Amino acid sequence: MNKLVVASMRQGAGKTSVIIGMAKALGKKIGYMKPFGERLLYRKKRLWDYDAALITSLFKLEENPEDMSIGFHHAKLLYMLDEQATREKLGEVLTSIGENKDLVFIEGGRDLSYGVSVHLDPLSVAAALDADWLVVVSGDGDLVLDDATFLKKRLGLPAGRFRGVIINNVPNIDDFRDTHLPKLAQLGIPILGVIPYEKRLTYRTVGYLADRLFAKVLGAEANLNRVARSLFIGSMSCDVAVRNPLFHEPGNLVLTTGDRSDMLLAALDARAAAVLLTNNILPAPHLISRAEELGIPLLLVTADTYDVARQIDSIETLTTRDDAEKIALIEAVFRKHVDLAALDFA
Amino acid sequence: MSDIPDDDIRHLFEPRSIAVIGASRERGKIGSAVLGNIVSGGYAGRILPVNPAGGDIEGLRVYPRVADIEGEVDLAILTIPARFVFDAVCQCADRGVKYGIIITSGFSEIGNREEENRIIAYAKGRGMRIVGPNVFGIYSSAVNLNATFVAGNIAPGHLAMITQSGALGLTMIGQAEVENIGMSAIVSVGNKADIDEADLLQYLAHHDDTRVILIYIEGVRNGEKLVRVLKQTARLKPVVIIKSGRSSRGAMAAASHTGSLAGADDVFDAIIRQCGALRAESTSEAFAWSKFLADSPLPAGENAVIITNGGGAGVMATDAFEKFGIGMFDDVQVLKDVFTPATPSFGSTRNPIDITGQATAQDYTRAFDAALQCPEIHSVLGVYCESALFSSENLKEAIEDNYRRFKSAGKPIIFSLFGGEKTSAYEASARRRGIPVSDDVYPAAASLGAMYAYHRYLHAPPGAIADAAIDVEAIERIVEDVKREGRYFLLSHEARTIMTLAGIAIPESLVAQNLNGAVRGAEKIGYPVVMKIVSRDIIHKSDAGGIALDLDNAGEVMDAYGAILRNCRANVPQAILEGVEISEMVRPGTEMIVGARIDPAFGPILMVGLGGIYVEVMKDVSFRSLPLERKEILGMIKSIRSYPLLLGVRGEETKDIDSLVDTMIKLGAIIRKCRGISDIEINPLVVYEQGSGTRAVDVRIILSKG
Repeated sequence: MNKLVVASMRQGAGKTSVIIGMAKALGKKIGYMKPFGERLLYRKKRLWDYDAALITSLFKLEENPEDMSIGFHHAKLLYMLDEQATREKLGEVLTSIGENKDLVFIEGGRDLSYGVSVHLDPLSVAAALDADWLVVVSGDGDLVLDDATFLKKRLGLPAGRFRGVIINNVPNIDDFRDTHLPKLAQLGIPILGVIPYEKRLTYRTVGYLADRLFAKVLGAEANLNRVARSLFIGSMSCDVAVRNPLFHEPGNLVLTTGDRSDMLLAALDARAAAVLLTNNILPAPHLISRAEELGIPLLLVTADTYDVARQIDSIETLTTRDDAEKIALIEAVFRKHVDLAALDFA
Repeated sequence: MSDIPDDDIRHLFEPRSIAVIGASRERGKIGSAVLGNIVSGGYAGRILPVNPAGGDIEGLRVYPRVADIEGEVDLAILTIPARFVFDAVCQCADRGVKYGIIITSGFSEIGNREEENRIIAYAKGRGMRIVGPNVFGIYSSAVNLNATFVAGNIAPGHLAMITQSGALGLTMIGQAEVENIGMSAIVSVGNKADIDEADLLQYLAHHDDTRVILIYIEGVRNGEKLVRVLKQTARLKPVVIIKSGRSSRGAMAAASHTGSLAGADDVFDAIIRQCGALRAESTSEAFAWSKFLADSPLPAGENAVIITNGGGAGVMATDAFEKFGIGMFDDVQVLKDVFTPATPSFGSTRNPIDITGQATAQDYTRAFDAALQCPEIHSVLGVYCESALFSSENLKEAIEDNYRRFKSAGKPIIFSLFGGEKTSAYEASARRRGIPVSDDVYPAAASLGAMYAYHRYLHAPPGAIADAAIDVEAIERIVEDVKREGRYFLLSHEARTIMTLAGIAIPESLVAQNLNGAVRGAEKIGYPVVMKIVSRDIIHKSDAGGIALDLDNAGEVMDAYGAILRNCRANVPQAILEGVEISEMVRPGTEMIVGARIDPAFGPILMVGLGGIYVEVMKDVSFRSLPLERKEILGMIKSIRSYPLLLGVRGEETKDIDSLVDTMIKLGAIIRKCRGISDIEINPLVVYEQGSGTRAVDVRIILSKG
């Protein structure tokens, strides 16, 4: 059984996407664990990691997502486990998860240092489980270069079972190849792949946003799987909004306060992907019916428009299990841009 | 706006002398019209025209200045341009004039509030009170005073009218004339800069010639005073109110459900009914009610019958009775005994009594007589459908003679007449002669319903105000501490302390600052427990993912602790998280919402309704102005649609309604007595089976920013 810790230098670098892409491309029988749960889901008194649930569902794993993490927050881990007990627990989980698997992915926390005080940072986990590890770095060229240089100079790589870096979400790949890649090569760090930024991977479904915003769904609940490609803040007059070409773009999530009947009606007429009403103001019943007729989800939240817009901006984009298009895209991108042979998990 | 002593307000309605400032001999000017009406109306007191030009008008000496008038002046009517009003009011106030009516417009109604305030401040500082500005004057039958610019004479009578709208007031005077309704007093209050409806009611309530008071109102400035005076007045005579602005202001983004549910008109409507006043939808309805109430005796009881010659009309009338809350007398045996002699064999003695299409005027009289003689029947609606056997030419006999006999016997009767041109003509003429007739069953039932509403108010004598002993000082100390920190929302544990000080049952709980504390706290309270975030920055805890329910063991408490902190940090990143509250998990019961707040117009008000998460969707709530009697609070609870849930449905036991009432009384006591609190809300208040009390699960308290 091969074991690979996938770590990142910064939060949101794309570890889970890399694992999905790699697993799909390799076509192996895989296992998954995320020792220090990060994107927690808390439902009906059960606690599990979003990524664990996603991988379980995508790859039809038999294990329970709740059993793929040791803990989710420092307080409980400090209260429950010391270093030795943590190592033992990691071993137990790996044994249980890894049975009959070709390759077990072990996803790290948000960055290299996260979890070090509770012995669950990626390097401690890799050491405890005697696993290979790679690092995902992402962002613009300068940031990637800084991260890679830090890995090399401050952590003294290559060391142990380090397999290399995957550079993710590169905005301008041609420029990156010309300007930054030669410098990275000089560092002597194995570059497993350079994956370009793909806007389609940033789209979110209406249902996902509704869930994250604790929104009440007022209508067209059946269409929550619609994709919200962009956010249109309807705080201007209706005349101005309808003259704006962006208002008529497909896939708009229109954000407006619940007493703006005019804006709501205009958004329905423009066939928005969904309308998110703020300030906990219920619209008139006939408008709710109209949204239902058109199949346009109508969501209601308590916060004001400004706060909700900020909240949406800060919600990270996660892949969902029913987003087949996005998963296929991840696999295709991975096959095209990552050197699978170099991973040598044949 | 302080109350005016009863004997003092008399000088406004019954002045011994009137100065008309701006009196003019030039026809078409308001000063000329007002003076002309005072003179032609037969006012017997001193009339004192004031105009810098001097001379005389209509044979009266004109004084150049107010200061030139000898003797006392009770009332000054100001008809001069706005820019001269302040100086004129100063002269009047310095001269000791008791009341001023500023007919002139151009003040706060167009944004000139500063000048209006300056005038009122000067006048009140010298003991002079002001009606208006922006009014059409005053009419008072007590002294034959018509100090208005209404065209034509106003007939004296028994209806007093107070109107905030000058234009609508003038129209209503015209309508009253058409309907042949005599007036005892008319006052327009305009901008209500000083004197308002409540001040005027203090006179009209005790004015013998006034039998009914009709008020047109657009906005309330001092609701607490209005409520107090309306309650007193309605005990003495009916008050009919028309208020414009029924449309809801919408569910505003308010910090409390009580605030967002308290649409201005909903609160007004509930409170007006609480005061015994009758709210009419239109001016024609208001006049119909007023006439009926002024000219007909009140019923002795709830039993009403419908006597008709048409089955369909009878059914419609039955529907109308239900709509307007009129009790259909349904003792079949009594009805049979009473009406069999007056009903053909193929008619019906069940209410509605169908005396059939063959009925003549004499048959109606026989049936009406039977109802009049029966002590168990307390009111009658006579419904007439024109037929070949009973020509409309005979209506006078069937309607007017019976109306007079009923009136003299002290039993109300009202009529609906369906028919063609002749019937319509008779109906219009009878109405002008003061007979309570209408051309449909709904207006008639509405009038009778209004009479019954008033009857019920009178037969519910005022009782003791429900109050509760609470530790006001301790509560105010908490409020002051919170205000010192610059906060206006109480944290959960602070709100819970206030509940404890008021004696409102809450689930056992404690606040933990860390995971160890949370686990220890849960074990101390006993499983299952509820965990909620404690943060001054998070008001809607569930929206931030800050609540976990039904935690059964230490493991679940640990998971919930992590999840709540993580959710709240993610959803409200700027929030300072002060810990978590661990509470006993209350067992299920009927979830109600109770709230109390300081309403901007009416002062302290109380709310009760169906609670839970859908409170703003269901909007099944009831409001009243505080203070309240216990039976009024019970009435509030009974008025909500969900009341049957408290009585027990589908085999459930009756809930502890007494305990719910007690909790509402305590909430009312807090809002009335503790300074600084603007809103208190408990949602849900779980009400258990009778004898098992209530639990205030979530309490929200907001402080006023004043």
